[in-house]
Amino acid sequence: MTQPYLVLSGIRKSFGAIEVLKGIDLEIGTGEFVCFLGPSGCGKTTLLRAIAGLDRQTSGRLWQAGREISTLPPSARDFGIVFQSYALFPNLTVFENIAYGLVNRRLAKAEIKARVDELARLVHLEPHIAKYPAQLSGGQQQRVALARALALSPGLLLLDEPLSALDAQVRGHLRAEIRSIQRRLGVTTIMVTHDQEEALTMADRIVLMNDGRIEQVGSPREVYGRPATPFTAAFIGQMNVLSGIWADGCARVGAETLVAAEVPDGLGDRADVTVCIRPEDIGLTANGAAGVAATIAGLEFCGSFLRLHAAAPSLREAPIVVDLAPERANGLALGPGMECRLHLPGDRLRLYPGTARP
Amino acid sequence: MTEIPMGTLGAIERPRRAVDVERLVHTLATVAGALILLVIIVLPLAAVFVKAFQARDGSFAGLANFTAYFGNPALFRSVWNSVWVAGLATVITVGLAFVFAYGLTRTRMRGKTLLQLVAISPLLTPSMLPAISLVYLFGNQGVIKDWLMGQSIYGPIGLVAGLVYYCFPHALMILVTALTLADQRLYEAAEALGTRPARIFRTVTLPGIRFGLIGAAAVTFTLAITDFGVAKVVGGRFNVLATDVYKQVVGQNNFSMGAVVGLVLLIPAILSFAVTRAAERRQRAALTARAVLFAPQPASFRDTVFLVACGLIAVVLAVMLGMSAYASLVKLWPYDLSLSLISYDFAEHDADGWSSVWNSLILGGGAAAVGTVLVFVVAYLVEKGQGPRGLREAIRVVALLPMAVPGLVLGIAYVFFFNQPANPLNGLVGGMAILIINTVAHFYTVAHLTAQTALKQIDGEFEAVSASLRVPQYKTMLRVTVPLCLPTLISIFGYMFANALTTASALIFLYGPDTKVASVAVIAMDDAGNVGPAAAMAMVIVYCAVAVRLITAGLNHLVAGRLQRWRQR
Repeated sequence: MTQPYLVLSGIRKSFGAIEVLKGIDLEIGTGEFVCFLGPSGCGKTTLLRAIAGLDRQTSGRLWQAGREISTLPPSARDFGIVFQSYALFPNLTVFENIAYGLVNRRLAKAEIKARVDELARLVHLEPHIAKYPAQLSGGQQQRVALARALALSPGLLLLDEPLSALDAQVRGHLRAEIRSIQRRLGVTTIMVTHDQEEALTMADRIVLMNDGRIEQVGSPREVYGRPATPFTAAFIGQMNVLSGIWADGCARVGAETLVAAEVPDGLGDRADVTVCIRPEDIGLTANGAAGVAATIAGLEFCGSFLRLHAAAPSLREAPIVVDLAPERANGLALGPGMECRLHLPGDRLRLYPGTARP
Repeated sequence: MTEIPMGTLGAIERPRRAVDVERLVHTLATVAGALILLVIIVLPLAAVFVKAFQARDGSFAGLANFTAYFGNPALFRSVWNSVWVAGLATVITVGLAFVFAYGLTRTRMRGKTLLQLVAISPLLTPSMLPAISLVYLFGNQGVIKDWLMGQSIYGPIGLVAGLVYYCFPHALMILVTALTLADQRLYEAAEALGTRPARIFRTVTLPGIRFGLIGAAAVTFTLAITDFGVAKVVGGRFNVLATDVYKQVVGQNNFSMGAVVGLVLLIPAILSFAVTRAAERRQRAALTARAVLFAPQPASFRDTVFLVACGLIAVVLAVMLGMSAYASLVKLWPYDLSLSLISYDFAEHDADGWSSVWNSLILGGGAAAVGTVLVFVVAYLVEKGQGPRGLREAIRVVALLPMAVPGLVLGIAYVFFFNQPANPLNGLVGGMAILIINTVAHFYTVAHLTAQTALKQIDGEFEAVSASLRVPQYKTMLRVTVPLCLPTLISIFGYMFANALTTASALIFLYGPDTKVASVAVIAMDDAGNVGPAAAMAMVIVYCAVAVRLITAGLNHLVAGRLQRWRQR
């Protein structure tokens, strides 16, 4: 990222007494695909609307392509937007929808037609150009919305939960398509989503938000593999979250002592510590003396893996979740009530100071 | 697929604007809309309050007018008269309307379409019409005069009967809505538990529609207590508030006392308005999105009983309309019953002749055209505009006000406000313009709520999309929002037009020498003893109102079928 395309500085937004954005600082590079990810109510859509100028921030400043846009109305900013509802004009054909912004530019008819045809080709809609939105499927409507947003070749493309109204199969297909169009055009893109899988598969960088603040910014790999906070750890993917005490360079969780390869700064002796480990990182053996003694409480078949809930009284009350690849599980003859041993490798343990929020 | 080079993408130039002109225009337009509503609704009503505290010469009188009013037994008696007559009319109307609504929604009786048409026919009649029909049926030379066993139709009996006819469709529509919004699964659950029908009715049906019943009763009571037409024609010497206002203002030129009576009349109207709004809100919340709509099973005994009951009610309603229609075609009631159009030769019976009908059509067309545009633009600015939020909220509240104001009160409000010599709009008095403005204000609320509902159903992101495409919002309004709202605009137009034709209560105070309208002519001719021509004029109003409704229905059909092909899947 040589020179940031979009810079947000100290963005705050209040609706009455409720503060929805509590100071957001962020830089986004030219051509980047960034996902705002977070639980509902975390402020991600509000932030997107502030960038578009639709809901102006209460305080804070924004720069786009070196130009300050903090107080500009939406019509003076440079962006294209796609909403969850698509917001297609139902009384206009696909052609007229895509051409909507072009017509206002007073371009020659032939020029408009050439441009719309080009865009329709880009999103594979040529055969449907004369239809009305009501005659299209959800996925096709979404493509029209995308083409319309790209028609004026904006420098910034904003996508507000664009895929959440679609069924799973169409969604998967469109993910790949949006990403390939974005790469081809090189347009800087921000997508708001609450779907972590969508963010992990599409984004160059994920901006994980919670309660009006940014929790972590990083590539999907970083955010998944090295969550910076217990919130990130618990929000992305499955996570076992254990509470313990820091003593003698080890985490004491229940009756067990866990040694982590990596230890965060600032852990004092006898301090509270939160220990996280992903279900697929836990090893399981049928017998032996090493590891934590546990009893299998239940099994779930999840297609590509087997998820089991193991009661480990020496660790904590609630069952520990363990994911096993089917070939591993097949050799073990697992069943409810079976005694086993859990192995928590030190290089997979993530430690955070303090007690995790419930 | 061809690549789109960045070169072409950058070729489209982007104009930049530093000042947000659009926002400025929206703010100015919203201010203008608020000012218009201020002048046509708020200030006239304020004038009624002011006038009530003034002596006849315009000096401040404190509570003197009120003490004079409540100290006058003849005037004060009208309060009690109005209350019990309206109360009785409410009980009867809601009872009959409940039976009818139950038949329409919860049984499988035959002929529902026809019954429903007859049931809502009173909406298209001026309220003088049922009163005139009552005179023909039970008056001194009435067809079935003996049925009253010596009692006179002029007075409480005629009032209650006329009001029931006039209010019936209003109560019916509210109850039909309430009964339609029932969850089938509640009934299935009750039946599965072996509950007897009487207990299901008591524990499921009644609780489900109690807000509808309250709303219907409140609306009926307000309509009944504020109605002018019925009281004017068959009230006789039985004084009620509505006729008192008229007598004070028009008869005795006592504006201050008229204002006091107007304020008294405003109390039940505002109370019932508040009750209705609360009931509506509760009713809507009662039905969850996942409920299954009730569909009645056939039951021959029940269906027959309701067909007979609803059929009887419909026959009575049809007779009321038919009596005036027939009487207007009779040569000289009751002496020469041969058919003739002599009653329709209005020039013989009233100085203005047919011109009052043309005036009514000009008023209707004018109010519909002006009203539809004003209502839609203001509702658009409130719902989709970028004007100041507080101002838009204020407009929302003011738009609800006319619903709580009886036509009579709005009429005297206009007299008080526009007749002041200091008012720059004073020149409008006596002209068609003031009648049009008053009618728009009178029927503003329902039209506004209709437009608001339609606008709320439109995707809220259209404006955002159009801003991102740098298309000015007014273009998107004209190109997308208006076409989407076309059916709504047509129905607002029809509503304004038909109501402008049938209403008399406000106009009776405001018409000038050249602008007498048909509904006022009905009252004038009836007053002069020309009951036949009054019935004929009332029928002309009905025919015009029916024509307006048919034309707007036809337009809507055309729009849905031909012009808006995109509505079809």
